[in-house]
Amino acid sequence: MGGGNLVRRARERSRRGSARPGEPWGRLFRGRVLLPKLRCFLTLPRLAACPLGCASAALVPRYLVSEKMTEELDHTGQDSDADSEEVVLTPAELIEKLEQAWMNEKFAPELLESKSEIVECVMEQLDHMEENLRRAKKGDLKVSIHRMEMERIRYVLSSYLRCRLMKIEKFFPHILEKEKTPREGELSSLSPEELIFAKQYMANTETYLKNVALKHMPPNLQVVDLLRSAVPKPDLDSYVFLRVKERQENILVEPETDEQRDYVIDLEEGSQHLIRYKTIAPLVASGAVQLI
Amino acid sequence: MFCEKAMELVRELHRAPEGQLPAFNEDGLRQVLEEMKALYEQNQSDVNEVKSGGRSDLIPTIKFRHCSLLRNRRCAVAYLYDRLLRIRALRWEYGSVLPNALRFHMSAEEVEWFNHYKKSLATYMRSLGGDEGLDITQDMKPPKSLYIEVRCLKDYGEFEVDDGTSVLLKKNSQHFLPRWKCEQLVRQGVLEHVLS
Repeated sequence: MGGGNLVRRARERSRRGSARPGEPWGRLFRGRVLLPKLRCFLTLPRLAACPLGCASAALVPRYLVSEKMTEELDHTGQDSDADSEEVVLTPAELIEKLEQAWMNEKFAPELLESKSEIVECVMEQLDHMEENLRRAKKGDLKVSIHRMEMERIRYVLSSYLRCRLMKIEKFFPHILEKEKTPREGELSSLSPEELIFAKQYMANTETYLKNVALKHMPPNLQVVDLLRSAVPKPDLDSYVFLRVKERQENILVEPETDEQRDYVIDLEEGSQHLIRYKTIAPLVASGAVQLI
Repeated sequence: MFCEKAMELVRELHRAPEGQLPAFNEDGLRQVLEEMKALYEQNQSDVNEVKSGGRSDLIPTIKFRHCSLLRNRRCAVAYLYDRLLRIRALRWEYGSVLPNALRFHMSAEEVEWFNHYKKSLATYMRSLGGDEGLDITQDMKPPKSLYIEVRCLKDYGEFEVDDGTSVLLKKNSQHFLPRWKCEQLVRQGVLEHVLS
């Protein structure tokens, strides 16, 4: 009888699959339940009821406040606090934004907008998690799982920043040229630190080339125009895969060869396409499509 | 024929496998610059002759020499710029301190360029967030597990882990260490990741 009950309970548990919200951590690791994706843990509402102690509650910073960047409409020196919007993001949403920015940056041929607010928030999160982990009990299984998640987040963040640095170094004359001309309503594609890095890189390379070779060349050849001749431009005509997040209508596709004419297409939500980057560049910036 | 030496410089770099830095061909570069100087001087005298004597049949020769000068400059700048890109890759692979063998292959100005690059990269990484910033030259591959099994290839000495315990790294000793501590040493070649 008892044996039958046990068997029934075990079968019930395994049929349920992943843990229900509010279920204490303790039950997750006994029986054959699937471990849900770690991200969801961060937003489970009733973790505070965990019988394993308040260490787990302290491990979960629940909400993050990040300020959206606003455009400077007037410079009358007024306190702009009232104008700036505050967007409340849960940690799960923040990580998802980071992953989206990461994938977009990886597959786009040119340098995209700088998402420094996401970077800052993620760094803050990582510091917070590190602090909490240090206070938690040693040898607890949760500690190693959270640490693993921290490693993964750190990898995504590092990869994103590395990708941006590589693009900056590859196309530095064109990027710096674009920064010089003031544009209306467009956000800068370089954060202030990246701008400093790019300028130093340019100065470094120019000084090197001048001292080693150009100084010794005939006077009319001493200036090499890096912008036009030496460093190639980003290839905006390369093809990219994308998934449509918001329905778009009337996208004008320009012809590649002279025989074709331009035509207009509609992008359905959820559909996936292979298209030239130049056509959909503004949609990537606005977040309407996701590069895959 | 003109520009032979410049082409040789470019070919030398083209032959070297991706990522490897051959020794700096100072001699070759000097010969290219000398050739450019000679061509320029010949062109100068010819231009003067054309202007004063009206010998317009020299113009094609002048144009030809000018093209050779441009080609020489293009090859020289390509050679130097490509070497800079390879040196930059070394910073990401080996870290701040380059092995001596590689340093001998670099000219003095290249070493200076490398130091400047190191410094501006370090400034950027420090400014990334928090107090010490984020070292983005770590975490090159997605993490598979927290701890990895490593075997020591050379004698390194004492190595301290997070919770204070220190490990003696002797040749051929095997340890089970946290991944983020070992990554730097694995890249330097002191430790070897044991899979299996």
